[in-house]
Amino acid sequence: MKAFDPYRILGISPEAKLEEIRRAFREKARQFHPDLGGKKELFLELKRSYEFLCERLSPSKLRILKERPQGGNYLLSFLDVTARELALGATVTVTVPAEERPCPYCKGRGHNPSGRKKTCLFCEGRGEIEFLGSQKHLKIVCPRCGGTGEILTDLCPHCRGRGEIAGERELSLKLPLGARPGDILYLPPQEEQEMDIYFELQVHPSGNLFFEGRKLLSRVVVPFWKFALGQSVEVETLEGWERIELPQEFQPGSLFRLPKRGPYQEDGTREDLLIRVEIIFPSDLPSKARKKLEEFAQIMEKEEEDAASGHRN
Amino acid sequence: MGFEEDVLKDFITEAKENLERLDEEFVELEQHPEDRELLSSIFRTIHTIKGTAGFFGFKTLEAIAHFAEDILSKLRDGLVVADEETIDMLLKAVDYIKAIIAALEETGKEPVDETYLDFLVDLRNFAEKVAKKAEGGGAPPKEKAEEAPAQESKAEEQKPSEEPPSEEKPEEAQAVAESQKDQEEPKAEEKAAPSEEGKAKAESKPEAPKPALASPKKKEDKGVPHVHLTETHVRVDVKLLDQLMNLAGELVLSRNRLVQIASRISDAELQNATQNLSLVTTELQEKIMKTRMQPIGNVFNKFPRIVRDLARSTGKKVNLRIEGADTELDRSIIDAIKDPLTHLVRNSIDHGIEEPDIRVQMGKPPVGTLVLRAYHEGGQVVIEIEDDGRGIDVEKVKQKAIEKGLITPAEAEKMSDREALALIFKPGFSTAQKVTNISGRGVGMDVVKTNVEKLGGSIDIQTVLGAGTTVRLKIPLTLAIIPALVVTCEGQRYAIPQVSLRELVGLSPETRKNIHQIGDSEFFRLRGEMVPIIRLSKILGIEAQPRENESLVILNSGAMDFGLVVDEIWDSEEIVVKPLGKHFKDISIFAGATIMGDGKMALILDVVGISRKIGLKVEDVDKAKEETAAKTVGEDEQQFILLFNVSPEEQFAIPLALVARLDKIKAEKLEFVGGKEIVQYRGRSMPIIRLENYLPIQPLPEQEEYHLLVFAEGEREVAFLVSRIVDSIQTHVKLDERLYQIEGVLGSAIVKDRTTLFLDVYKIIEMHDPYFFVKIVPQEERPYRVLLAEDSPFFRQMIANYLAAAGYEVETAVDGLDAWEKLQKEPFDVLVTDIEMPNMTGIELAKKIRADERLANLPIMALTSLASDEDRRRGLEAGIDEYQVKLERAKVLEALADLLNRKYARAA
Repeated sequence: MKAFDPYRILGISPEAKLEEIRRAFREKARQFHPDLGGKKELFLELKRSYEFLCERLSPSKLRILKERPQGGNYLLSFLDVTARELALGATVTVTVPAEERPCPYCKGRGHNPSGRKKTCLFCEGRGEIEFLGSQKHLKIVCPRCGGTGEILTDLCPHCRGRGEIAGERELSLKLPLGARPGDILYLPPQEEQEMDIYFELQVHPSGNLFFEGRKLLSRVVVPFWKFALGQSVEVETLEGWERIELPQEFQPGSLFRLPKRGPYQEDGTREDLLIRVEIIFPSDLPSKARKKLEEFAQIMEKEEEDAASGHRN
Repeated sequence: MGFEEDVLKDFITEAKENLERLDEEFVELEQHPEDRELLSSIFRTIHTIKGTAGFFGFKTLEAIAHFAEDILSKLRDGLVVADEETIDMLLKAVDYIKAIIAALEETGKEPVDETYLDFLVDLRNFAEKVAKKAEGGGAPPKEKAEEAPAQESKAEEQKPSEEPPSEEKPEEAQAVAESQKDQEEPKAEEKAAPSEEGKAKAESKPEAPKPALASPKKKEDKGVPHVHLTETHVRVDVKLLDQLMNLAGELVLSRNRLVQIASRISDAELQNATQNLSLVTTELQEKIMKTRMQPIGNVFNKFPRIVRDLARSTGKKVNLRIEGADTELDRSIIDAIKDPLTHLVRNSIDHGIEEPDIRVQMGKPPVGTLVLRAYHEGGQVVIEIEDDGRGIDVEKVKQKAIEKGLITPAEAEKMSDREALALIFKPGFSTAQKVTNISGRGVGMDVVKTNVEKLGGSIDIQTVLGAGTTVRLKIPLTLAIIPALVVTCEGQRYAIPQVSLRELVGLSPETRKNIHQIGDSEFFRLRGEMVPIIRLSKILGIEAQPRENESLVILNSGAMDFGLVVDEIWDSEEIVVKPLGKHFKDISIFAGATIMGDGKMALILDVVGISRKIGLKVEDVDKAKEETAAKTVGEDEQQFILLFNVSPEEQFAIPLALVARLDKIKAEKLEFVGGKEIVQYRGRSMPIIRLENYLPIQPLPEQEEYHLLVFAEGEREVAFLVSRIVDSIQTHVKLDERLYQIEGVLGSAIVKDRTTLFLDVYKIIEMHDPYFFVKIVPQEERPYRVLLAEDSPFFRQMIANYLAAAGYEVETAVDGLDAWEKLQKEPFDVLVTDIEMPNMTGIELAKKIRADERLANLPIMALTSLASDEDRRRGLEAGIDEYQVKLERAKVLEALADLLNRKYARAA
């Protein structure tokens, strides 16, 4: 199975920048546009490739930093992403605190309206205060209790007495290309958000793909006979599962690389994807297979002996 | 590496300082080779470097420090004596350490140079030699020396590969190495080997460095590199800054004096000169203060890492929000709050914020939020550590305090939440063992509090169980110059830091009425709150002259407010705080001294110290509160009454609380319709009562405008038409019932020098319209018999009247005892009683009734002038069934009917 490869469809190298992609698309589009007699399916595929790459290479609001914030006011949060999301600069949803607004539970009063209360000592529970002495008779609403005659004594459990509560806001953020585990992502202030926000990346493996340091690896488990016979192996790449041929001289323990198939770098080009081949030796082989294996071993030992004696001679 | 840069910077500056000192110490050591203390100090310095180097993974540095430490430990333990050779070697080690530090500062990496490795070998051999000397070639030190080289060789082998020390796993290193070039492969394998096989290879390893030994001498000459530590900033000892600050303070004081003298002499030139000096001094003082100011962000920025690590190790998710990072504070204060803050942040994450799944169960977002906030407030900096975690369970805190023997169960019962939370700060509240369920706060919280208070700050906790906790620290901006209020006591001046000041009250004969003596303590009733007060002269132990006009300074000590009575209040002034000598250390009521403008000294009062001196116990304050409560109940007879005239000659009074509204109308608005006088009022017709129609009094004269006293019963309204409202006053009503035995008049009293008739509003309205009040008497063959116990004749008569009007048969008693006696003689269906009465209170009466077999089921309703929850609770405990406010006639009647229905329906 061949994975979706927009570069191939657009006829450009994986190194191509946005400008080149745009140019290639325009050229091809002129060629394949249905209005101009092109095949519709072909054009749609073209369009899809173009849009796909545009999205992927579009600039992210997030900036990559190597250091934790140094000063000023900010929010430091954690961003859980999968290795695949990070490598491809996917769009993820995060929840961040929004600006403070009056607490809806206590209406900004800061106290629990259904909590304990005591009589307001200012107006002695009357809710209003009279001015005495002169001819004028004035009653004013008690400024302490606001006319209720009672003082709420329990703090509001929602805003904890602040009267304000920070809501939550969901942000859809495109991960910047080139971010790696351990990096800090910085979201500068924008409309509706006055604060600097920093995210510390927490990268989780996705399937067989995982980061080791700053490199992306794909793990392949191959039974020993397949490996010995040089059969092709199924590899999970960023584009999906692919069957690849390992080179003849390839030895277990070393790494195989798929050039330009790894995570994106900041400039829009891609690193290599490293494939780690792990060989398994099943402990309980069927007896028939075991017999064959013993046979195989005998042949090999004999070969070695012959070779050794041959040497001596 | 980037993350550690901040820490690395700290490490480097610290190391640089320490190394400078080391040089001096070594020189000293040569003179006193057996000075243990000196050796210990050197040992510690080297040990610190070793530890930090290990933390950062600087292998060469760690190894050099390790062997130097090895040698030093032998010296320190007195196993060998520091000879010239040893000290030489150690000095060389220090030089190498310096060189590495310099390289670290420049590049952030350890230098890659063989000379270091060569020296390392020399040093190791020397260390071995010293160890042998120490033990006479004994086994244990040798083993130690064997182990170390393994470590060293590992370090050595990593160097040539030019890999910066990193946190990468060896596995990864291997992966990268392999992916680079085939030829690098064997190297990478070899590299990985020692770390994996570790000790197995260790034995053969010491061989490896040996070849290097061949040419040590040669290399040694160029070995000690010339080190030049570059400085980007001039680091100034804080002590020096302190001295500068002190001197600036002195300068301010001298300036103040000079200005005073200059103003006396009034010489224009001198005036000019002093003015100039004054300006420069102020500026100088400000600038010096500025050198000490640092943004609090410097401390806050340590927390992202701490929070991250803690969150990771506890499996919690935490957002950290920093607000007000550029708020500036004196450097010494910043240093001093670092630890308390760290402690509080740890607590918040450890014990405050819950695990994500628990948070979701509680309906909170899975990610907790920790806010560090700093802002200025009235010359102080407030730092808040706020989390949205589980909060502190006050009850559990109390329980814990009881277990620990800090308080008695009785005390716990009386404690307010705030007082209970303050227990957390008590030494011994929490020991090392974790107090898991109480959020565990308290581990060392007493230390936090002490540290904050040392800075002249205060700490306060606000918590809502299940919703989170906010710890608020209030810290003075600077310790050296503070605004203070100058007060006097017996001719001496004292300064009170203004941060503790709440308000000032002048004590005139009028305001003195608010002072209450309870037990040995005095309290001032400030807007309904009882504030304990104490005389400054008493604290100081001065014989005080009685004075007419004193002042009361209301202060806040963090935990509570209290009042300090002083003779006079002067001015508020910027004062320079001078510490007191150590002889005064134990006098807790003084925070320091200052010199005033005239050159004389004034002592600075320590508000927290004084509050402790007062030694107010929870019980005292509680007692005070109870007495306040009792006072309000006892004030039954202190009633707001409304005085008015119908004709100018006669004065009438009614309880103000009965009046729904006061209003004025024009005479032409009055209508006479269908035999009734009415007025259009708020879109409705309201009947008017002219009092002269019901009472034998002078008629209302013709006026252009009249006053209306509007009474309401549900939807209905009725108004008295009167000519003038005289006043409304709060007064004791001493009602004379005998003089006027007229329907509709409760009695007479002298109010404002005039005989005043107290009107029975209910009776008069009933005379006007017998159906105005809805009768809520329960259906029975005979009317219920009510016993009314009320000591105030005014209320007694009024209540009796409205009860009778409602259809009850009412018998009255003048106090609890009288009621008790009447209950013995006759049967009653219900008792309606006042609470505060002479001879026997309502509560006592109720208890007595409930204890009596025959009367145990008698329904009891209590009436007070106002019913607080507390009263209600006390009443219920005594066996009172209902609680109502006297003047709320409708409610009283409704509740009484209800009570009777309930009681007798059940009995039947």
